[in-house]
Amino acid sequence: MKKYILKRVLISLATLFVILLVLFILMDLMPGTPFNDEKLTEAQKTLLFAKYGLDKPVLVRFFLYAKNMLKGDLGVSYAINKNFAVSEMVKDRLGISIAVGAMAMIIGTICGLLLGILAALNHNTWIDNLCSAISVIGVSIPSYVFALLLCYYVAYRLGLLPILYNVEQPFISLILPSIALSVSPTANIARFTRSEMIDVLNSDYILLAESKGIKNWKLIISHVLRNTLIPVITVMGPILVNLLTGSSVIEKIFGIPGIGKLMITAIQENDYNVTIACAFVYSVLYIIVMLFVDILYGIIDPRIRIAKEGN
Amino acid sequence: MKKLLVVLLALLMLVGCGQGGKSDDGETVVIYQNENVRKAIAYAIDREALAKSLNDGSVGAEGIIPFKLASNPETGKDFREDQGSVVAYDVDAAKGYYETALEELNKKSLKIDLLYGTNEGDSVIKAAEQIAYYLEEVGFEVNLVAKQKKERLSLLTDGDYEVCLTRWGPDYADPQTYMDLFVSTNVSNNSGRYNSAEYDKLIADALKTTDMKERWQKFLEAEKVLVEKDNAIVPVFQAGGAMIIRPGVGGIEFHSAAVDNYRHVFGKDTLTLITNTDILNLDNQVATDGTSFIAQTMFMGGLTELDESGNPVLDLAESYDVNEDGTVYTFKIRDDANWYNNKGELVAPITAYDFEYSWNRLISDELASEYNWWLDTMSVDSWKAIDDKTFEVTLSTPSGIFLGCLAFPSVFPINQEFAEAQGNQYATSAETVLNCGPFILDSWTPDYSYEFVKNPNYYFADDYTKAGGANKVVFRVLADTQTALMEYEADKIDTVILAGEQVDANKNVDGYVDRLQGYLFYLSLNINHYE
Repeated sequence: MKKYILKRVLISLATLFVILLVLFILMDLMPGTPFNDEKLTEAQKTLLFAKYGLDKPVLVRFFLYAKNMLKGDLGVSYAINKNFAVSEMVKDRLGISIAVGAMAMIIGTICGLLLGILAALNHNTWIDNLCSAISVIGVSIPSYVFALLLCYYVAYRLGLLPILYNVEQPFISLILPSIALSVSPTANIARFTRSEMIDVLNSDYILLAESKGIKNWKLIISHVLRNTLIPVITVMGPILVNLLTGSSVIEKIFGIPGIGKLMITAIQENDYNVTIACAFVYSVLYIIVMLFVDILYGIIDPRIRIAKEGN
Repeated sequence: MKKLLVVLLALLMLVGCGQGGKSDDGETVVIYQNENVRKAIAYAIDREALAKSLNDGSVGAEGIIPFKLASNPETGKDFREDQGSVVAYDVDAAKGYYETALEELNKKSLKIDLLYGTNEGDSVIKAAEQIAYYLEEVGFEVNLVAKQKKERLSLLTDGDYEVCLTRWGPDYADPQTYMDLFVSTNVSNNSGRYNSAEYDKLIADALKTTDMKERWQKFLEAEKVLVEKDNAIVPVFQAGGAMIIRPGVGGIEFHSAAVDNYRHVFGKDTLTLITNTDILNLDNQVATDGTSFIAQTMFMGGLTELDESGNPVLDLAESYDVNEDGTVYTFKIRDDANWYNNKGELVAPITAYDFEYSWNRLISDELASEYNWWLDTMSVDSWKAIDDKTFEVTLSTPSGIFLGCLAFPSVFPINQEFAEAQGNQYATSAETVLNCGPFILDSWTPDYSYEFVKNPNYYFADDYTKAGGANKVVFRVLADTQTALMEYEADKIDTVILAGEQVDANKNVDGYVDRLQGYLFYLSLNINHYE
């Protein structure tokens, strides 16, 4: 198991290095510069390029950046909050995005699993149809529509919860955005759980277990659910990363200072360091979650680990 | 791993190919040197109808100088009123010019690549589509080229475009802010490389003369040459902006050619105002955006500020003397002008040295300020602190805009000792910047809110309180106008910025304000800048 984990970690680190290099080169190839502004003269642009070291070759800048990164220095912003440390900008916003994302993930997982299990156990009944209908609606309608509906009915008409994010009441004010954000993961997890569980319920080993006289609830928990969860965990990884890295639309509607909005602005403003930092954070989260999923796999189903180790 | 690298390399090559290469074939660009092509474009556009359809208070342009930008130094009349319209809408005439152009160029049809920005507001996209429609009515084939702002500007600077819908926001209330753009020596802004000796001479004469009346006349003439005679650029519309301000709340002064003034806002003890963009920088010499400038005029101040009608009145200076030929100004700084930290504690008195340091800093290569040309624009030649409270400024020529330009944040004072002690951290938070305005910046949470409390020691604080001034002003950053409207109706915020269909739906709401901004959108034609 240790060897397996070590190998996974090393591959992850190498992947991150390559990602950083590619990000750096892509930034350099992007049309325009952070200093394309109608108010800037050519002389000023030259001054700015020199000031921020952008006149140096891309590889020199890359190694300088990578070196500084190890010290936790992600450079400064060129356009959004000029001269501000990017690490600070990202840190503050990432925390809030993770909070909203995690809340949405918890809601999405619980509701999704419940819906999926309910539908599978009542396969081909009206309950199944209802759950499926809910899933289809959840997948097909974008989250901002739910967000606006929740704002209008729950917050504005009934006055039950605040619309806008409030630093003094972070939990209460993040409930609506989390619910809005959880609709799509709920639907995805429900659909996946349902189909996996139906497969498992129809398999021979469940028939065998049933014929051995294992009690219904015990059968479901220790035999059906365990086998259903493996593929479900795979889809949950990417869903979680998507949620954690923020949704610019939800952030815009509820006035949440999150990282999703920062990344969009950074791309539009050609703010190299901020874009790289946001994209890199995304990659790091993705790789950590995937690593975690890999390890979790090994625990849930030792066959996978052994098969991979054999490679 | 190898596979991954191959894929990445392929990806990079793809990106590289997409970016390179000029889309124009040289021949198509040269067509804008043809006078009749330019006239056909200029006459094809129904500016009134276009502006109205944008539905946000925008108005059709009558020239390159916007409405309410500058007034006649003698009569006080608006430039547009003095000049009248120098553009015309006449489809038949436009068709005629188009036919003539076809003959002269020996072509069967003419194709235009119309470049515009996709992330510069909905109105730009709508306007570009409408312009395309009008040009097609006349006979042109139009190809819309949509780019992100930064890329659009980079294409413009490189001359790699045909026609571009672009804009200019005025920096000060004088025609010069627009006229400067199109002189042949301005390689940064004259993207189409319009080159007219007549125009250049008029502008040079206007800038040289000390006779303000003559200067005004030269600008009037220059606009006629640029737009009416040469059709070198095609003015389209002046941007509007609609908002709702809660009835009872007042004192927000909008300036189309300068920073909006929120220093005298009143109506409630705590006001919660909505801003759709956050402060980008607290450093008054690094910031370049309106939101930051508005905030800076609240917690800072300059030698002058602008009154409701945009005229300069004294602020941190209590008086000034000017020599006979109008080139040496001597300012006396208020005795009660002080620096405060964000807790409202007195740090130091404001001295002339704070101005001297600030102005030296503004032009330093080390800071590389985007407004390092500001002092040149004001014709400032040199400056020095005579003593603690006396600041002397020498101009190269008398300037009608000098006093007004002092109200701009880039020339506000900076306390050297404090700024240098903060080093890299200067002005990155409410704690690392000093206050010298009618408000104290209490806190700033990026992308969320910034809050001001009244500075009770400011020289007009008592009058302000008597007038019902606010003790606390909160700016909440909220880009979504729908949630903002709900919050406004729930009485949680006091202003809303409207967009799109909301403008029409709220036209009759109490507190609806239609404001005209200084931004003028025009078509830049690539006349000589093909590379």
